[in-house]
Amino acid sequence: MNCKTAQDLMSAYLDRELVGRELADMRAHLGSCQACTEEYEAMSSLKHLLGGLQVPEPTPDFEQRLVASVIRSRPDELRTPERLPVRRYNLFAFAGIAACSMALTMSFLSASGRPDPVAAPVKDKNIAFEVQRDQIYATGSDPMSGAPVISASDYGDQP
Amino acid sequence: MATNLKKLIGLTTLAALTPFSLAGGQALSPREALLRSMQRVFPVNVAAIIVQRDPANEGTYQTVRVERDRGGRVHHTILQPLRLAGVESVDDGERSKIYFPDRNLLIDQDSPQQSPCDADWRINLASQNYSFKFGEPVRIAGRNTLCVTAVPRNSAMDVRRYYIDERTYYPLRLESVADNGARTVFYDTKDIRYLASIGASRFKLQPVGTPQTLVYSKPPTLNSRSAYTKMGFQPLMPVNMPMGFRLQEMQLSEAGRWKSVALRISDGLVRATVYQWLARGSNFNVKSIENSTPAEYRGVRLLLVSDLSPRLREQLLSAFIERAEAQPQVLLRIAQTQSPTDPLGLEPTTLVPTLTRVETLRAIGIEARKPQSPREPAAIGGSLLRRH
Repeated sequence: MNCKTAQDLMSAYLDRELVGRELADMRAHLGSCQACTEEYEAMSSLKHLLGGLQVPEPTPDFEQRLVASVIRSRPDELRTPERLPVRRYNLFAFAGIAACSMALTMSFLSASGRPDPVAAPVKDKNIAFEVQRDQIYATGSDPMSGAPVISASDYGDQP
Repeated sequence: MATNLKKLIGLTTLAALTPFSLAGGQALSPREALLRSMQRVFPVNVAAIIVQRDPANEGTYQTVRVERDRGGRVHHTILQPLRLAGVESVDDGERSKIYFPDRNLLIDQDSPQQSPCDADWRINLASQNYSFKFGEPVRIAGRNTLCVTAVPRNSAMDVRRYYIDERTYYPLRLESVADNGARTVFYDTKDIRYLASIGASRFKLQPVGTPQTLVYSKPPTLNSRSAYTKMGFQPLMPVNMPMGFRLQEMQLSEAGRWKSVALRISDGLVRATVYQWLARGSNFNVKSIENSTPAEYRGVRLLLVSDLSPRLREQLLSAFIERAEAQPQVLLRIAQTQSPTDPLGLEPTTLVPTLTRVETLRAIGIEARKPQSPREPAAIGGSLLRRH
């Protein structure tokens, strides 16, 4: 496998979607190519960062208020089926506004001095990792233990 | 002399052939059949595909290929789900290694097989806590089985059913049945073959390149005194644990910045570990650990890990905190409060501000409440951090 192919498959590899020969080739390439390894680690870090972002929960009455607000703003358009193109246009606009709003919120959160959302759970992951690793030792390869024979795999930030 | 030697050889041969000479295994008692299935070494080479609960997602299963030779060497490979596919572990009796190819990470630790086999200890304890009988046998992966049903003497515990290959006594399925009839399969065998031989290369991991390697030694065994010296506090240990659990061993689990006492407990069939460590500077949001129930008591954190149900984990963990309630001085021996007059920190009243029960509950944001049902443990001075 060359670097171009590796780059093409990097995202799929990161999402653990590769199997068989492609997976083996990818692992072999990463084991020998420093540039691709760095690229993989950067993408992996980005994925972890994004995965660690907290998703704000809307208030319970959010949906009700949103619908009421939209109906109040354009009552005629929403109640007239023949004006569907206009409504579709408004939905696109709404989606754009929502995207901008999310981007602004993210910028605000990152600039407002809040702690890094990924930083906090790292210690927990260390404990989780060590507990799982110790459980592997404690249960050993005893098939009667009832515990999974292999674990500690989902706790990536080992010490 | 020669006669004695012949007798010895004859007995040895008989012992080796016994598992195959007992047709249907019915000559054995259920207890004896279960004991044979608890051994680390079986008289056959095994290649099997099993499914077992996914540790990261209770209720789902992962598929694992198992290779185990007569010498006790074991090779596991996860086949499904996709996020875990390719994760391998090998235990050759000396070292136990686990390789995570996606992160090119290798965990290399002493093999648990270096410790003596505890099957006899466990079956003796299990005999006190369960009665054994043969259940309805079924065919699993084309093999005839013995079904050993372990009925607990304590009604809080679940019935456990062990399906064992009737010729080799290799365990093929383990499931529990709650009193409401809910059945939980811990693992099940989908395919099994007994091979004439397994190549030695199957018990060697071959990582790609140079993996990051984390090396661990066997956790040292502790007694009460050495635990205090190592940890800075006296670990909580109930005098009488509920449901017939007993302490099997106390070990020091130490890695990086995290150090804890690990109390290995068992009722003979179910294993559990209670980790205890000082809360200083560590975050206690450990809800990501599956099959675990956390608790906290006056600066000491506890985490019980077991395949027991959450209700039973809470009940068991409560016993540890009740112990602290009964003898608060035990936990108040905290090393950080050492003084020239008390080098071991054994003056309880001068060490830590003694919180009342209500203050403790308020401090952790939990109000005392009465148990909702007879089976539910009461909220007590410490807190069980409930997870649902």
